[in-house]
Amino acid sequence: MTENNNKWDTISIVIIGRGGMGAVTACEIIAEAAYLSGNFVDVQAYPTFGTERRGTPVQAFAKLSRKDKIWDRAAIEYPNIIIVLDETVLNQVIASSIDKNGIFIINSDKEPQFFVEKYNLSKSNKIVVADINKLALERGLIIDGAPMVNTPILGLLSRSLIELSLDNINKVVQKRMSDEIAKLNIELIEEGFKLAKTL
Amino acid sequence: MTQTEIQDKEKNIKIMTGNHAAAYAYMQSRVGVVSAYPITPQSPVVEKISEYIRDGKLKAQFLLVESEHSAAAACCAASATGSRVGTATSAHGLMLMYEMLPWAAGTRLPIVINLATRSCGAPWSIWDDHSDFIAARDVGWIQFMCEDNQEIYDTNFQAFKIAEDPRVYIPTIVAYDGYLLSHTLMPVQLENQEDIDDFLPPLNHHINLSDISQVKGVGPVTTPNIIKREEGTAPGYFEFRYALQKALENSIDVIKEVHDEYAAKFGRSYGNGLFKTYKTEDADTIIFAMGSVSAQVRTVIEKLRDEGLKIGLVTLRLFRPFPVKYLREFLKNKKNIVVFDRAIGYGYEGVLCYELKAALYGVKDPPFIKGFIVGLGGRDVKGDHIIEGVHRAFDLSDKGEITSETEYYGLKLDELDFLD
Repeated sequence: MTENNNKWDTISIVIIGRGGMGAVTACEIIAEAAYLSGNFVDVQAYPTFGTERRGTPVQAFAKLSRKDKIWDRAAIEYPNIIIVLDETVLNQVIASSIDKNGIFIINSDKEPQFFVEKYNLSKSNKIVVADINKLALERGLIIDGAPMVNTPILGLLSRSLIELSLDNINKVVQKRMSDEIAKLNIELIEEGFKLAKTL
Repeated sequence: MTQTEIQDKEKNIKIMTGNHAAAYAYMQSRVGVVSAYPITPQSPVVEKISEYIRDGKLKAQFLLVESEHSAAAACCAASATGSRVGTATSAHGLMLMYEMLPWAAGTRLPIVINLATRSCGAPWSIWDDHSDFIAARDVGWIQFMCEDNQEIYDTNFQAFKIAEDPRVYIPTIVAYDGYLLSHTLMPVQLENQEDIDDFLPPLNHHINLSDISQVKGVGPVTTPNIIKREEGTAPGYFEFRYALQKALENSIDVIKEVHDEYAAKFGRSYGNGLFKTYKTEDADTIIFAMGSVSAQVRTVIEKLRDEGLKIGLVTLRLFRPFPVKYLREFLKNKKNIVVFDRAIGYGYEGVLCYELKAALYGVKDPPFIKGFIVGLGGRDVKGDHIIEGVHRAFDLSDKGEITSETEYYGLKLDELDFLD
């Protein structure tokens, strides 16, 4: 399940979604959890530089390094992992930018094979899909009428990047949110982990 | 503190943006007055400071004003009352403060400005380059450029200590790349408040308007000549400005001293405090850069060395006063120097490039120096740009072609389809 990960000394992650979905927060949690895990000597998280508006397509980024301090300040061109909060934002250009052994983490009610066919993905790519929208709606993780998927989807990430254990993600969530909200988020992260369909 | 004690110390590492590292350092420096006006990408610095004040974590006055000019003026006045004063700005914010900058320097007010660097319009751009930083070059301030968020945090304490040293009394800018550091979270080792207090004691100001009986005069009108009266002798403008320049020149020793003291106490150092070196031991070729550009150079040094090049990096940390003596000593025997600037000295070439050329004037068998402009207005600076620049410089060096013609990497004129 983790056979791909160890090839990368530095793991670059891009989260795509829409303004207001919490892509930036998710990247921050990933970076903090990765650092907390002790498996990474340096981490970075950053938003798309510039202006963002609610509802428009946005990206957020994280870099996790196992060995060396991260001096790279350039944009991520070929991400190792792409996390898709909203599948309508995914397009061919973004899908084709993934590393040849890269991992897709997608919030969708579709099967992984659907994305392989739609974007002509390579066999060496790994695809992890779960319907996080449905999960969040069912369990009432809703803000302004919209399901919040940014933290629950991290359960899927933890499944493909095992060093980023659920335990560490949960600790960071616990620290950042009030007790009640954190509890719900953590439950959904764990349920998301179980729901994952992989290819 | 010995090395073992440093390692044993409980780690308090937080993942934070460069802006928040700056704000946290202001809080731990116990600034007394902050006056600022929001501008991207600096705004989170002063937003965070106002949160600290609201939450009672920082006992300071936050002066809300209607512009950066007023912010700088308020900082000058507040500093003259004997308070420790800091602010933050970017690009046109600094430009609007400009009128007050030589005033702060001439009055010898130890104010600190954190500058999240940004390009200067027109055209409109909120993204990073060093145009604003270099524009503050000739106003008599000390200027640091940081390379990561830890350095922002550490440099702020040093900046206050240097600025407030009675041998110095000069305002100081701590700069860092907008967005690339200002908005990027990185791990930052935070220090205990007691240790910071120990390193940075309360300010003992040379002017203290809060005790009016001690005040002899601030910012007097001077004349072209010295005035002698029964009450005493008043220097002319020339003598005041000589004193500022002399203090700037002498501040280099203080900057090194404060850096070394910080390094001994907290276990983190930045070269000699003036510039940092990487893989320079056997190098006959040096890349010279600062901030984000230098960081990007670090990612390709090994690759260039694998080509058989004996190449290393010198990262400028102290831009003003320009550490001429130390750079000259370090670089005089090098064969080639490749300079990457993230700003243009308009009408000439990259500022780091021509300043380095001037610094090496008159050395025997001087190094070949070639400069390139990269990354204006937030254009990505890629490792490949650095590699191509180094190759180009070697090519020119081999041919002995000395040129100050401006050359660029990352410029995409070929993609402008309306050009021929």
